[in-house]
Amino acid sequence: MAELLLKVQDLSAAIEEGELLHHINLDVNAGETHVLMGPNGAGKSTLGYTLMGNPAYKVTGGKIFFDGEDVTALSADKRARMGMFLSFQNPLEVPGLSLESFLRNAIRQRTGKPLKIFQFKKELEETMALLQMDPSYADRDLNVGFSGGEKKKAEILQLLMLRPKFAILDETDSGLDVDAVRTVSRGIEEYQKKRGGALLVITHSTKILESLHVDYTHVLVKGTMVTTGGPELVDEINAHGFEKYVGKEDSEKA
Amino acid sequence: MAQTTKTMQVGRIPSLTWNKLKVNYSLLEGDFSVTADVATAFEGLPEGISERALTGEEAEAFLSAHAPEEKQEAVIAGKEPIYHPQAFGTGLGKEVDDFVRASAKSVSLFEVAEGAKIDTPILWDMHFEDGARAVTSQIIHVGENASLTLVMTSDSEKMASGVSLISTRVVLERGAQLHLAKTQMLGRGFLSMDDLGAALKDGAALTLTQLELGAEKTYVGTQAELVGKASRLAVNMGYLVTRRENAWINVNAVQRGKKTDVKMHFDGVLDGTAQKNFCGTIDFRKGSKGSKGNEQENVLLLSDDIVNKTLPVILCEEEDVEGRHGASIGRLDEDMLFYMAARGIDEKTAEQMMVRARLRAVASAIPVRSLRDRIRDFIEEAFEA
Repeated sequence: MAELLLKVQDLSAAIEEGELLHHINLDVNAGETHVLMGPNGAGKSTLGYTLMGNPAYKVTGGKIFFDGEDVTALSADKRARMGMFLSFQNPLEVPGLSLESFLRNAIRQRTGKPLKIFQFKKELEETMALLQMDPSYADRDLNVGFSGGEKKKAEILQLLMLRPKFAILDETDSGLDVDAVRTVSRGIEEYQKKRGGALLVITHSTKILESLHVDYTHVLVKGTMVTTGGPELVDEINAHGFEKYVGKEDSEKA
Repeated sequence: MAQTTKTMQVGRIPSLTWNKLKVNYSLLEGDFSVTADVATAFEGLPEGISERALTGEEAEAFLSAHAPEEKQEAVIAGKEPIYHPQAFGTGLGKEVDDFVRASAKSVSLFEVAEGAKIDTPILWDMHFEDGARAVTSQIIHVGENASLTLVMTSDSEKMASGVSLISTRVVLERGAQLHLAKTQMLGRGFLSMDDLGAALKDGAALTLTQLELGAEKTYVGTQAELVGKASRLAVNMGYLVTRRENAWINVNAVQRGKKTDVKMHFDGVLDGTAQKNFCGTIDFRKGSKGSKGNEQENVLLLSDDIVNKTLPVILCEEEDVEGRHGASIGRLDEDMLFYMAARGIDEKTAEQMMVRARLRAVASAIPVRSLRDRIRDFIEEAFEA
């Protein structure tokens, strides 16, 4: 029987201005890839942030379980140390902190152990090569002066180096050219296949999914999960858009 | 010659504001008698550089000959001239300058010959013993189209006390370039005063990288006069004020020549019950047509018991200029904390990482790896009890 990794139970979340997510249910087993689609403003990123524990989003109902533990009230850093990961749509720039130093700190925090430097360096080099990143980026300040594509690659580099059990990829393909999408996809595929990681891929394009095995597809409209299907749903939405799902959220809520 | 001064007015800002704010100047009280010399020895200076000691009179004559062109000073709101009466102005002002003149045994003249391009950074280390009370005075004269990187470091043992007053005048001839990298890592009982005055001629460029990391009380003053056309000043300063320390920082860029360019960036970290007063002034004088000035101060506050005063000032007598200033003061950005947290980094660790990052970003311009490593270690230790 598949091991249940993430269980989202009747989750609602709000910011000061009002509720953004309504009664979301979602189960992700270890190693599965789920795709979350929806029109602009549907609440896809909000769900990603809420799952990761961004304090700007308040859980107003329901629960989040990860690896058998109720993490609803846990801080983001604790969730990350348990094996959750969020790849940011707009990664932040940190002058004075190199990408390598950031990774070292993050790995030390997650494992609570001293880093094996030689092994770390070797893995960093190999992973950067896989992502076609110039090795000099390791010494550069995190995301400072990186192009959009390099920032996204740096996010996937972190994903591969930190080895989480479950990763939320928030619009990782947005703003990337075809070649960059292909490279980033290769990294995600590596995470999925060789590292057995589970994924929630937030996207409204399908380019990034071409080389990935998808288990489930969910459609979110106005903060409500309106339908769930298999990988074929991606093709259907690709062909027909979200039109047939818009308006369905009212009946779901009712 | 030793001298005791009871009170000195230090770091007076160019344009006075309400006294009630207590930001116009600092009054420094105490015994400043000089008891020690700080040895400065350069071994094997490269060709094109010379160093020699001047007497007080010789130094005065040199400075008079190279002082920024005197012009009638502006009068603010009809009250008073905006500068102290110094022929060659400095950021800490006349009273500190008078004290240096009376106390320093000699003035070191460091000269770069016309056209000499010195590729290797010159290291100028000043190590202060515990209890030392020392004044050093130097003039750095870079000849026409010459270039130099000078790395000045003052340090002592971690818990040492004393007084350090470093007075530096910089004269950059036409087309000269100087990168002056200053790092202060004095002990926790030190009073540190760093006073700088600079005159830049046509096309000259001064890059000042400065890290103020140690000492109990820190006074930093810089006055750069961009006299020449298209002269340029870039200041990148990082400061760390922790525990019960005080810092007073007064940086003036006086833009006199046409098409001069000033970029000043200040990154500070305050913790404990630190008190900090910062004034950065961009001063466009009549005739500075086509000049640009930009200053930004970013302060990170790590405790609730800090007193932080920031005065970004733009003075303007010329219409055709572009001046900008900005300041960001606060705790760590929430988005940044979440980004770190999403990688498993807790708030305390994220805070420490950001402090180091902020100061290392300034230190990264220092072209000496071993010094950057020392700076890193010093910052680590600064947060230890």
